[in-house]
Amino acid sequence: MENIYDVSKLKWYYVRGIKMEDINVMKHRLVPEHRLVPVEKEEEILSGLHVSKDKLPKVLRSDPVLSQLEAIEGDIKEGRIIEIIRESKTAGKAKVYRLVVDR
Amino acid sequence: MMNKGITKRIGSIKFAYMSPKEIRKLSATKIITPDTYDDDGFPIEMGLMDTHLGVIEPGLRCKTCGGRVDQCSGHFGHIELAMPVIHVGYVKEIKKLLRSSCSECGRVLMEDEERDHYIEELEQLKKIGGDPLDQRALAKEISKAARKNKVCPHCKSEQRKIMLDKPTTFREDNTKLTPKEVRARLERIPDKDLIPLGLNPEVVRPEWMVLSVLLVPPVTVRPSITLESGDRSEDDLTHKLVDILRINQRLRENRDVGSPQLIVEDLLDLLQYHVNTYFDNQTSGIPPARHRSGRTLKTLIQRLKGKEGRFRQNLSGKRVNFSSRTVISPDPWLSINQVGVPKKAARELTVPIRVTPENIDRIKEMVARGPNPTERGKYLPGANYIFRPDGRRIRVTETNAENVAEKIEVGFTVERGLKEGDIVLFNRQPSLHRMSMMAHEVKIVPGKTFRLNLAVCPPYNADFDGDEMNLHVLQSEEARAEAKVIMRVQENILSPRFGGPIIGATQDHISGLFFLTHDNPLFSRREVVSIFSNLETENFPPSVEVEGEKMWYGKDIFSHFLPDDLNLEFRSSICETCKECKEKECPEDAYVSIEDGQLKTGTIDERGIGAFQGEIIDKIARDMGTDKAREFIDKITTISLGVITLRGFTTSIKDEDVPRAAMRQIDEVLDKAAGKVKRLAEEYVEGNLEQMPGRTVEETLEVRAMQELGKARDNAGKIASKYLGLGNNVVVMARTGARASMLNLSQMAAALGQQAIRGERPSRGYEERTLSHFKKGSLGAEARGFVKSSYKEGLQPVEYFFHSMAGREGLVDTAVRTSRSGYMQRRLIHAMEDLMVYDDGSVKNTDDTVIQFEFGEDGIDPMRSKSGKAVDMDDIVTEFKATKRRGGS
Ligand SMILES: [Mg+2]
Ligand SMILES: [Zn+2]
Ligand SMILES: [Zn+2]
Ligand SMILES: [Zn+2]
Repeated sequence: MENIYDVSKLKWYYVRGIKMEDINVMKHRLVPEHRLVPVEKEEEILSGLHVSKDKLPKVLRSDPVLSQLEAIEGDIKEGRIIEIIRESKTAGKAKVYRLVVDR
Repeated sequence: MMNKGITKRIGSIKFAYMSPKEIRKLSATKIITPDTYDDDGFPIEMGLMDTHLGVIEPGLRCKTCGGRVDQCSGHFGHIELAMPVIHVGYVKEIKKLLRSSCSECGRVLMEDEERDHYIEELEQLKKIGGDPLDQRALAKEISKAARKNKVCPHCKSEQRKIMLDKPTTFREDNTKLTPKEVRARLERIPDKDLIPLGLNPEVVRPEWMVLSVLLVPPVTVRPSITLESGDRSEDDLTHKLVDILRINQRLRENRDVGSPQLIVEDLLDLLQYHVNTYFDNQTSGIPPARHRSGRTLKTLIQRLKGKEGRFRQNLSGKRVNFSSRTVISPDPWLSINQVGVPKKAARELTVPIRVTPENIDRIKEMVARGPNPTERGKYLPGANYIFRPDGRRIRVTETNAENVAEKIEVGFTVERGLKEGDIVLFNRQPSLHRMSMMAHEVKIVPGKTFRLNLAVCPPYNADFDGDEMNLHVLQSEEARAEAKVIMRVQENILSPRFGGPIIGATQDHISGLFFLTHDNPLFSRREVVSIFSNLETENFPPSVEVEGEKMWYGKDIFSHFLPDDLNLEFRSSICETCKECKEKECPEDAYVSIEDGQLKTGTIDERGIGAFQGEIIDKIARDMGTDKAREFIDKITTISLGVITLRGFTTSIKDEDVPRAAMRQIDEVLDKAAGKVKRLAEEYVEGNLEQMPGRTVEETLEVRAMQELGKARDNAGKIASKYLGLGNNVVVMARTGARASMLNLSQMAAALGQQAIRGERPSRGYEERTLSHFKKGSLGAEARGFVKSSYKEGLQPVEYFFHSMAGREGLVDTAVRTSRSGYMQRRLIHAMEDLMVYDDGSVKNTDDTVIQFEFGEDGIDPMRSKSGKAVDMDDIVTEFKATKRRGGS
């Protein structure tokens, strides 16, 4: 997908006239790093967190970040896990996980 | 597994509408007459007080179940309405259904394929666990989609626009739809077409939203009360039901005799009004029904809704025994762990004691003393009640005490009054954080007020201008143990709110320690004795020999109370943050250095021992334990008060005196600023004012004027401050952080400065000016709320007016802020009340969904952090220096 507007370089931008698909939200300075967790590694991560998959917080498949990720990783099915690495005021970097759900 | 005391467990709750059939089945009797009691005062059959509906008078028996007052909880009845009426609670739902279904054939206004697609989508949503709110949102979308079809795809009839006249009248184009017609339309919607509209046809039919039968609540829900005069006073609900029955009867008669349409319609509208107000007496669009006295009636919704409603008042709200409330007053001789309880309260509040073979003799002795024993005029705890194992309760009185004491056996429980050392909970509203309720040890005091140490005022946010506090006596051994370990005041010195001490010195405590330590004064023997006289100690700090006299240094006296292994360095409040800090050589004595428990340099003030910032309290509580911290706070505040009592501490208007020359200088600064603003205004009028980027010319003028005048006030304050040194008590308070600020002082001594309304110079009032005696369009300093006078000089009338404007805004703001933040707090607590931190550091809610993978992302307990930071580097450096100094490695 061609990105017409590189958000990381824009200080101000106007929503009017710009289609959502043209914006790569992952490049926005307020959007943390998202990664798709490989299926093989899911078990390891879940046991490390002492939770089952359904108890993870959710992320919608329609989330703009996911459509960006799909451009790289291919189709992301419901039930996959996304790893988000956030800048944290308290911990420097914090890893959190989200379960992909439909809608 | 069944738990003890639980006989039935709720599996699930389903909400649905009540069908007329169900209402009739539930009903114990039909109600037809609006009369309640006959001439003899007996309930009339088929009236609103029919004894089939339960009984409220002792002696009578329920005709449905045969139970007496305390056995029968009442039964529902019903009223057959002469004509159907709309249920106010469902008008929105009815509107949605009418709009998205065909007015002729009743089908949903969409093709079958589309409908089935939506049903599938809803099914899918339910499967992935969409909650009822999500389902409702989707159903709403579907009905919106249906509404777009102006022609029915099934019978091809054209759809007209349906409007709702609040509260309950439906119109199609301009013809009124009667409730009967509405019901007929709802009846026509087939079951399957209800699913996409969000209704479950297995339990609900939409026509039930139009009432043809009205459920009448049992009399126990709306009891009548007999007044002293013998008159009966009925409940508001009964009044409303009487109204409904009267109109219902008239409507039926008129309809049956074939009265003119107009009369029947009017009566129907009236019936609708009464039914509406019976459900909700605050529906917008109709006047609320009133009692004869003019009071608005409290009907069904009003009983449930809001702060005083059933949910918040009776179900979420809990009332307790063994508690008391009174005014609080300060007592500096109490420990922070203690609370002073007046004798009167201590006798009334009780602790249950189980009688065991070990304590039976002591208890017998205590009970024999009666309920109000004293020993040489001093308070002794007495016993108020004894409980036998069979549950019987015996009150101990002056006369029966000895007899009762004899009868006490092992296994009895005795309720004794409070004694010193008992653990109680102490609380001040608003309980905004966990330190708003802490455990204290009881100390019996004279008078009628609860007393507390001044160092515990900050966590409670208490002062003594009439504040009241609550005290709760713990009733079980487990509760007392738990309270002592986790709720005791000393365990709460460090606050989880900001990772520092919240308990510590305030006001005079801080001023006192300033006088004790600043520039290390010498104290004579007499003075030291006076300072130490409130402390029970035989230990005194080392003295020095001055001109043959034994003298004591202030810093030595302070060090006397520091733990021996304390090492700490920080800057005092009075530090002026010089460009280059000379640290231990600070000429202001503002750099605190404590080496192995000795205060070497520096002044102790708010940064040392204050609540919220006290470094020393923080360090002791963190490194040496809460016992040491409590002891330190108790002793050092006592010493501080000794010092300030000895020296005396007062302030008068003299403290705002500034030399004449300085006053002239201040006037000059202010006049110059006013002149500058005048010039700016002229430039603006001439159009020569250079616009600031991103601002209009008007805004530029305002910003620059505010800047100029702000600077002028600061400079005026600075000039005044030059003549106000630490010899001035107000300056001492402001600089040490004990009370007030240098700004307050300069407003008293130099000038009040610019008054602001919503952060801007006042600009409204009269046409193009703020007050009538200014020229139109005047933009100068005086015309826009600049106050040149100081509080000491007194304000000019115009200045006073502007000051009042700003003062009013301040009051309104605080009022609005507290109410808003209170509501915000309620919502936050509600959202987070059952989250829990697990031992792996994760935060989960009640269905085990992860909220945070690691508490606060770093897993740090904020209470044990240093201002939120996990590691305190300054402390590590200081400790390292100390180790090196001791010659360690
Ligand atoms: Mg108060
Ligand atoms: Zn009964
Ligand atoms: Zn139709
Ligand atoms: Zn300094």
